[in-house]
Amino acid sequence: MYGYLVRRLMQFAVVLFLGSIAVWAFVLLLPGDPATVLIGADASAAELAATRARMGLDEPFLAQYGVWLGHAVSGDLGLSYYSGEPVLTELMARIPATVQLAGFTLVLTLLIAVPVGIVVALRPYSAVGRLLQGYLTIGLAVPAFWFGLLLIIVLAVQLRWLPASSDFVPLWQDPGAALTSTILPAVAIAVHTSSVTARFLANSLGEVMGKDYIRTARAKGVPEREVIRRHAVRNAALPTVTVVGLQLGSFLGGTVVIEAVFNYPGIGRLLYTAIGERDYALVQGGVLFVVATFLLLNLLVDVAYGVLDPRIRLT
Amino acid sequence: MSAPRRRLAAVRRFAGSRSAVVGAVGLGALVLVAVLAPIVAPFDPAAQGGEPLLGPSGAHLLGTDQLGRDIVSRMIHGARGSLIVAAGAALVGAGVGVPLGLVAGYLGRWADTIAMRVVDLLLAVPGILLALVIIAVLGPGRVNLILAIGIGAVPEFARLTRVATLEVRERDFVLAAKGMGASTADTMARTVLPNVLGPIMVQFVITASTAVVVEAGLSFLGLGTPPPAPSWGGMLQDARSYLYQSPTYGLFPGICLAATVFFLERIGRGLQLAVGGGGSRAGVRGVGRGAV
Repeated sequence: MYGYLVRRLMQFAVVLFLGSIAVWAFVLLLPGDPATVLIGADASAAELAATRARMGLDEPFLAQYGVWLGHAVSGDLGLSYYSGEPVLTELMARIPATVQLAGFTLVLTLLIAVPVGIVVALRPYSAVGRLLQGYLTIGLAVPAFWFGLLLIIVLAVQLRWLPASSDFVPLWQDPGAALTSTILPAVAIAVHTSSVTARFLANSLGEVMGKDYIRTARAKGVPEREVIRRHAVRNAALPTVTVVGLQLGSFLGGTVVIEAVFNYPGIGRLLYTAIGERDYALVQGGVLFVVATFLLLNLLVDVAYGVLDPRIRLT
Repeated sequence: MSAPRRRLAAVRRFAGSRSAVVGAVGLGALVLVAVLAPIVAPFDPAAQGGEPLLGPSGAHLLGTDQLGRDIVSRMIHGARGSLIVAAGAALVGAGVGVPLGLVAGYLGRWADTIAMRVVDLLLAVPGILLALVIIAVLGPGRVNLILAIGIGAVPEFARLTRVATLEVRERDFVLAAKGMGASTADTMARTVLPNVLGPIMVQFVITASTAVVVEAGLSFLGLGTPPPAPSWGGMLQDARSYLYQSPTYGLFPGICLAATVFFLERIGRGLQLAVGGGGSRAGVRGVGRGAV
């Protein structure tokens, strides 16, 4: 187990290191000079030179990277070009909104995917099974952001039940308002992600049901409910955990379009705006945050996997 | 069974599956409409003559947009951009990812380690965010759009090819090719590659369907197909601005998107059955990246 953990941690560190290089180097690849972007094209040559010196752009690349990395590790991601605020402050302001949306979406995804996946795998030809397969087909095909638009058209514009744009209300301040403001984007995403997860769960459950240990359990007289609950679902759940972990990772920063549809103030929207404003310090910091969180989630999933399934540790 | 016969059997299995045929016919019709767009579209997609924001009517089957342009005609022309970007992005993803996976899987050791860590890193950035950043670097335009979405598809191809390569690497026919003095590059390209093509084809179709959605998402944000050229995502953005005046506008471009994804998904499933499984396990890490 320790060997597996150490290997996995090393991988995490290496990829995060590569990521920091890529995120930092991204600014070098951009058209135009960061100092010009910061102070504007009509600044004098002397001002430009002063800004370049202040930003450390005259140093060799390696030294620049070293300084940037040193600051990043201690939580200093620089100042936003646009607002002048620390990048970390800007990110922190958006993280609660993103986490709340991700949490809602995750819960909804699981609430739909687990029962649907089980029924589709065990009773594919029953009336309910067919209906749910139809749901999976539609859920996989319908893009989340368009579904979000449809929800707005029907629920907000036509019926006026819910607001069309979702200002962020923290759950701990006003649970009711938090629910109504987050529910639409969460549903829009969850219809797609639950279909992916349910399809995956159904496939692995179908595989498991053909295994010898299921036959053994039935042969020794375990009631069918228990066979499914204890022997089948538990084994089929393992690979599904990986999928859900990856989906959770993609909720943090990968919901740019949904956030635009609902005017939701999450990390994705912040980064989209930052790219539009050429606020590269903010883009650097934001992407680094997204990458680090994703890798960390992945690491946690893999470690959990190793704990749950001893066979994994050996490979 | 010889290779040509095996291929024939796979084609038969594909043609025999109803879902695959539905997908292939649907996609074929869509491609035809896109190619013949100037002939089938009832109006010039850029002509601004009509009354703006009309609902569906006899003259304009699905109504008009905010500039009085015919929605049906814009949807038909929009199919071109979607299909070109989808195919292009899948080609870029396969063109970079397959050789990467082949080298990683066949050579192993440090080549494998380096390639896989790069793949891990690419996977850690959500596809749409990666595309946004790449477009910020390269600038807007169709070719850059294809590159931006295609690069995001590299990791899935690389992982899949690597896993399949690992499986055939020690098989007799590969050892035989080596034994007869084929060079490493030759063995990879002529002996290993043809035997790992099945899952790659499945992935190609899946990637194209994800690319359709990502392209629409980027166009929705105003960073995909640049206006005034018609695109499904761009039309949805317009529809969002005029929700109250024209609630039906937002329906139709989305139906096109969903239908395209549906057809591609059916083809992918048919292919998967025809070439015998594969694809699902190695592709796990790519799941959910198309959420947008």
